[in-house]
Amino acid sequence: MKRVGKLLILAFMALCLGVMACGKKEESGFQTNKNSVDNVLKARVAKENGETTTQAAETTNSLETIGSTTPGVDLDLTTMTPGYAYAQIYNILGEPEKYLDQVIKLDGSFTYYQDEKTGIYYYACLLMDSTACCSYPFQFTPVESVGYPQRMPEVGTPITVVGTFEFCKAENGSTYANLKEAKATLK
Amino acid sequence: MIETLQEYLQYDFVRYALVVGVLIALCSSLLGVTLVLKRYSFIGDGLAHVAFGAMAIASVLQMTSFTYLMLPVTVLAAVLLLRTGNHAKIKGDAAVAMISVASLAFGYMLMNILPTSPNVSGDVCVTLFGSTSILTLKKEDMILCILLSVLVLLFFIFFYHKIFDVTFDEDFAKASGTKVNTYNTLIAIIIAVIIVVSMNLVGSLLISALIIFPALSAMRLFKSFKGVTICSAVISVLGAVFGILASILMGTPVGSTIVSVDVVLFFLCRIIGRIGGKG
Repeated sequence: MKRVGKLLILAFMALCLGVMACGKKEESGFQTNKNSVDNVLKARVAKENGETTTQAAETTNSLETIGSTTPGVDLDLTTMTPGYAYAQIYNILGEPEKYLDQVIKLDGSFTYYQDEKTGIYYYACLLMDSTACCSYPFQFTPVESVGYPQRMPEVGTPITVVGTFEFCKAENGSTYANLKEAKATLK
Repeated sequence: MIETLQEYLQYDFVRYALVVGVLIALCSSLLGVTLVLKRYSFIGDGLAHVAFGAMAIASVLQMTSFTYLMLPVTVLAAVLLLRTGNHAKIKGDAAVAMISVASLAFGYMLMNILPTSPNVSGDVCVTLFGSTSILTLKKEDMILCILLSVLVLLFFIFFYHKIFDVTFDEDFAKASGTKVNTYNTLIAIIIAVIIVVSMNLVGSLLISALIIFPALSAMRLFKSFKGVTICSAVISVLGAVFGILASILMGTPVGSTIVSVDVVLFFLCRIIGRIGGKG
């Protein structure tokens, strides 16, 4: 019994070293994105080819569905409660390769950022967890820019976005998630 | 309701949360009986706050994994608090309170003075209340938690009588040849590991609930150490399962929902105990 006990203690100590990975939060794109969304959005400038928008924005509450419809939704986060949807976003950003080119649908509130140097607008759907203490702005690129920025809604308007997931890398090395060919509708 | 649960259970992270939640609840309830009987009910809270302080230091140092610092610091604190047993100069609740509040205050101050993220309040809120931590575990994390839980169970099964002796009468256990210090140290290490892992489930502030409520609920129904231990494990597992399922259906934070279910189960056991004449 003594020997078994000693072996058990040794095994447990060895496992303690291994359990250091248990529950660890990897520094994934989620943390990077949360910490430097503005920097990432600015980095998009380098990827745009002469696409500038200098028109002043007229915000309006009306928003029509724009762009072509997506064939189907692979991951529908609108059926989940906010806390679970937020957790799923976290998991998507932790393992983005599993979700590449999947059509994702999510609810949130509209927000945008305009690059001061180029005038380019970047749009995002802001998701919050159940206690609203944490949030993540999921960037999306509309299929057509006709509706934006002239007819984009006010910041904070509830919207539903459907788009194809891509995980991009900016020139400064930071990574960010984006829904391309996105269709956004008012909730 | 069933369709909603079925839909959620399709997601890996929900299944992982259920598995890990059940195992954490099981392990914490087993050690919880010992802690409650030794009048160390709040040690879970204290150690969780120590872990929070260590996490704050780790985040400031920008460590890749906070657990590298959290685990050894928490183990050290647990050993200091529990190993000395009945002969400590600063006993039980005073020692726990001292270490607990100092770590919490120091950790929060450090995170504010040297913030590493733009949302310090959000990070602190998630760590203290564990709203989404359990939902962001990977398969490897789940496997390690399973291994950990198996070892904790084996420890409890193999050393059940020694744990019993050390819990109820340390002096007698020492007189009869039991290495009390060794077992106190072992218990302290296991508690520290369970606390660090449990922070993912319910967060730092609510961790005591996983330790206290199942044991107290079981004591309303059973009087023997074995009966209380087994009942405590069953109640804790039920609380974790119902808590996670309820949080799915109601959209509430996982940690606080589990604790709320534990409270309800406590009152149910109290009523049953009174009706049965044992409460």
